[in-house]
Amino acid sequence: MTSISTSTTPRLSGLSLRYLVLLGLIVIASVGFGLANENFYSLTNFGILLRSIAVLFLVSMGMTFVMLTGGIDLSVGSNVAFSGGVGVITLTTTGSAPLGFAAAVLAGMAIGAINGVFIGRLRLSAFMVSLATYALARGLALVIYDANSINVSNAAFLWLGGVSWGSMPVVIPFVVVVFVGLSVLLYNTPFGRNVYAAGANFNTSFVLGRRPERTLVWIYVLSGALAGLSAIVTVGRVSSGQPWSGLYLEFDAITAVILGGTSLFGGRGRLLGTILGVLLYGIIINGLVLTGTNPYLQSLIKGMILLGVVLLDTWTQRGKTS
Amino acid sequence: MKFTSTTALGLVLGAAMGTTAFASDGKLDIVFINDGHVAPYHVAWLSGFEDAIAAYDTAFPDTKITGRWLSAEGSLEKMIQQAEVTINEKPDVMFVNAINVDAFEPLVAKAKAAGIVWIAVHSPMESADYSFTLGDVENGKNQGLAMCALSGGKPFNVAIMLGQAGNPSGDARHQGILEGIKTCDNVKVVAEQPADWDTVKAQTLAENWMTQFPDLNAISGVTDGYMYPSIAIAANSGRTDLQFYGYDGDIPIIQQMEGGQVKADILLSGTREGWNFVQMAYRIHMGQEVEKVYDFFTPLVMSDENYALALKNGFPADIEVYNVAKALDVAAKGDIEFGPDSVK
Amino acid sequence: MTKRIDMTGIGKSFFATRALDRVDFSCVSGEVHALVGLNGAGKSTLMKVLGGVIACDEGAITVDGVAVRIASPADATGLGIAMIHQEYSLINELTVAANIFLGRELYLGRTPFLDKREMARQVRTQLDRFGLTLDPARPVRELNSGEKQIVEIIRALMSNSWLIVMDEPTSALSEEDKERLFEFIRRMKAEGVAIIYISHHMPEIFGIAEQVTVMRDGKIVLSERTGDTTEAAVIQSMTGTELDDFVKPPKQIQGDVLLEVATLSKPQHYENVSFSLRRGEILVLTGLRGCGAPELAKAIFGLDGGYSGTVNYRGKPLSPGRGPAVSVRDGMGLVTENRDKNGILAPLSVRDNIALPYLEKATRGGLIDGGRIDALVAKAIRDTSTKTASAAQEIRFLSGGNKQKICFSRWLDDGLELLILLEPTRGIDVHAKADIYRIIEDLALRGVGILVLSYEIDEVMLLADRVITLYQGRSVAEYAHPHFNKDRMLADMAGVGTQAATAH
Repeated sequence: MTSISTSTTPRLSGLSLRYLVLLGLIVIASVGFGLANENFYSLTNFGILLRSIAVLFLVSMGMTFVMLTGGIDLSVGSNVAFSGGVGVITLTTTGSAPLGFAAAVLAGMAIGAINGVFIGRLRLSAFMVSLATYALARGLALVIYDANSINVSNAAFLWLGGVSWGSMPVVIPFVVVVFVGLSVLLYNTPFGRNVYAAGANFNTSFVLGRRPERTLVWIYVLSGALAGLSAIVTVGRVSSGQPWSGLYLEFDAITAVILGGTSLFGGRGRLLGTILGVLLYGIIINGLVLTGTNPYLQSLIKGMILLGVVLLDTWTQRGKTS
Repeated sequence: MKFTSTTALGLVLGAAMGTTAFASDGKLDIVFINDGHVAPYHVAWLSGFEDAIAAYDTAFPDTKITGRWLSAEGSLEKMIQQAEVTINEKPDVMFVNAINVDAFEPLVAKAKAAGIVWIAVHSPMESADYSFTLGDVENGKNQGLAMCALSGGKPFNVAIMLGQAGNPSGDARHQGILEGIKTCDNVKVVAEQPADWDTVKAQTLAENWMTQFPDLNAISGVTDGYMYPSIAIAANSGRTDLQFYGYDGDIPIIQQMEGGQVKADILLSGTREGWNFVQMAYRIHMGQEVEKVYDFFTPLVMSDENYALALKNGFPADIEVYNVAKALDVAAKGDIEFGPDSVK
Repeated sequence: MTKRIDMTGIGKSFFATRALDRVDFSCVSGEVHALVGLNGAGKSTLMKVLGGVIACDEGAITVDGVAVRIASPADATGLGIAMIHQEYSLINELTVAANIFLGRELYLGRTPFLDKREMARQVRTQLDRFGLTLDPARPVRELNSGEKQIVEIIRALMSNSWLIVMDEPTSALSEEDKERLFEFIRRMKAEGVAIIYISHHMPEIFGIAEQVTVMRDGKIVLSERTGDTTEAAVIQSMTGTELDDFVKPPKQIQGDVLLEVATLSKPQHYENVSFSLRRGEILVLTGLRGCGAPELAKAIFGLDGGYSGTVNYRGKPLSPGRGPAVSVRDGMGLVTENRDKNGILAPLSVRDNIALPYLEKATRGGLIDGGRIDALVAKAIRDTSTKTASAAQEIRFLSGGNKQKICFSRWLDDGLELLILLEPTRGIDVHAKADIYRIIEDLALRGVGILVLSYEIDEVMLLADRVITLYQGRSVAEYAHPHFNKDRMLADMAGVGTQAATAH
């Protein structure tokens, strides 16, 4: 940063404050669950925890891009099922794992492209369009799977989602690589700045010649590609292709992104927040299982946490502006 | 199926430790991972399981018996995560109602390595220590046989509501019903449609069928959930002649059997199944012999009057049938059949 | 019976500024009283006092000789005073009748059900009375601006209003709707309604009003029967002669022709407009709101197609509606008239707001060179003397003037050749204005061609190397520095000498 920014007194931006709050909650949750069950701190449990949220990490990062533009992508969960199906069927017909991977990612991008063209080019509501592709992709998945699951035994195809090095699932380093790559894309390329611009003010962005309509198309394609990657991880995890996989995943992703401080109205938020949001969410789910919390209560607790964080956010935002 | 080196190692370890991993320390911890927790059958099932844990713990003070259940809410990914977390917790027995059994093979190996008894629920698994099955084909066949016996020998039209396409349990029940019906010539299937375990879809189907087939004699279903809307619609349209053949043993359905339009039902009852789980776990814990593939005892239910009529019409006498009073009794109180007294 | 309202000795100060200085103003039923004046002359302050929106410091208001107190908009409504604004306050999803009866609906007896038939009947009676045709059952969203205005006025009349204040009522109307409005006004006069008519259009004023009052610097400078004065006299008194007109020093413009517009026409917006702009020249288009200049500027920037005629830029024709991305690539820049709507990116930092058009230039191997951006941003902030805590500050916390400076900062790059400015100093304070004029001059000195749309005559005089006046989409006259004549320009803008829009 130049002299302009360093010459001023250090201040806590709304987002950094949010990250501190999230970190605090993560610490509180960890300590609490650790006290309730000593197994919480075991290495094995961390492996289980991370593996269980690997897919959520990937999908939520794509959702962060989408929500930074003020949009929403409800189709990601169904897209995981669909692109997984395309990948698995390609794998079983060709026997080639790389072809299977490519097919899964391309299928995910195709659904994303449908979203992108309707939302970016035709300016239809993201909620409406992705609600349609949510049904469409699930339907396609059921059709291509013929409503039955397909077992996968190809070791290469299962490697990403299934294998662990010791307690560390290989998918976690992969998630880290994706995170670094997407961070560079978001913060250090013109495309990334266009994402913020399109979300902050579509009209201004258009007048300034930033082609926000084109940016939106690519954002949804990116979200679709991440759904495709998630599909590969999911297949590896359950060693089969499932037409009902990824069910409700979009809601978990939206929850994590909102927890992470990304504004629903676009233009504000960071990938780091989403990572913290997913972690907090994952820890809570894991801890609720470990402590044997009544499943009827779990949904209630999730809802209360989300509401609490959003409230806290509003208060801190108000405190900052007043 | 390929295994990674860790799971292979787990297999070896599990085999080496064998069945001596438990029973020594006077504690029995049971975890039940189910595919859902909100359907009426599931609610009864899970609360039966909870009640049985408490009853056994009181009845056998020498053994500290604990248990809890988890719901994957229909998501395979979630179920796998729950199973992983549970294995890490090392309970003594795990009941897992797997959404897809193949996906759980590596976890069964891991559980064995950790000395946990894995009981596959409903869909049997070769690798599991035990499988708890329902005998869906047999039950369905009994329903079909009852229909034959109560149809009165005249031409008899039946429409069948099926489960979700591709669902193994629904398919097995369907297959059994058809096998039973095949034993007589007068019963004819005029329509069959999946209602996806959904009462609203069942209602639509019932409405359509009653207008489409004025000469319909009976509606059969692979779950009692379908019976509620069907009975209500028949009553509204004055079809007091229509017969109903259910499956599940829901108490409100059995209550409509004495002199009513519901002719036969299969007594599963979630409460009974929950109790049976705990009984089975305790028996294994005590070293009693339990079949590797254990069939849940699910008798047919008919009113005394209808059973007499059925026997007269050639219904096989060796098939176990409960009358309404007995069925209602055991359906509500799992301890009658599966309580601590049954193993003392 | 006639009613009259008298405002006497009305005074109002905002801090040190005397906004109204002992103003006397009155209005009689059955008459149209035109109120004119340049921006900031005090017209809207006076009307806000009348409407109860602000309280005056001194003075009295009487209705038919009885002193009244107007402390809130509700008081004004109670006295039968209605304000018709340019932004309509109708609910789009409701019907005409439902809008008119909003808040005082009629019911079927004592039931909770609306008596829609009776409400429609009453609305129809009113419409008939003024010779208007409009279906009371139509949803308001289907109406055009003129029809919405009628609904607003009818609503006011049906709430027993006898004094209607109209602020620039024709600015958004088509010719046809204007005619209908004038006819409506004549009928209202006949029915004994009093109308205060705020406008700059001389033909309209002299066509419809009985009395004309001119305000300047918070004072009444002229108040005459329209029959006793002339358009020229009104214009003259609007500008005044005591003002010391600033004239900028002469300069030589040697640059070649950058932009050439020939016979540009778009129905309802502009017609047969031609002009050219040299590099380093500041050309100002001016007129009243609705004169078509913003649409013209947007067409040149590629935002808007559907026009006939040609636009040559750097010697080559531009294709209509090609999109702003192409224009920006070709060295054009635009500062829009509505900062908050399409000028700034509110949630983003000052840095991000400035840097957007520079990104590609600062990108090496696909990655943005943050250091270069920081340097560019720092220079832009310095050059425009923008006041911000830091470049990381979110722009929404800045003042209007500083926001506007940032809208300029984006275009200070060397690649800029043509800058289009729409109302460059709208809603900003005097100091920021001075900074912005300096920025514009600096850019012109660097050889950038600058096309400005301004509605403020003083700004026009201050900035322009050349001025083109527009009236209703047509160019009226062209003035070259230093031969600016304020009165003539204002007369051009007000349509003096053009065919009167309506006859007495």
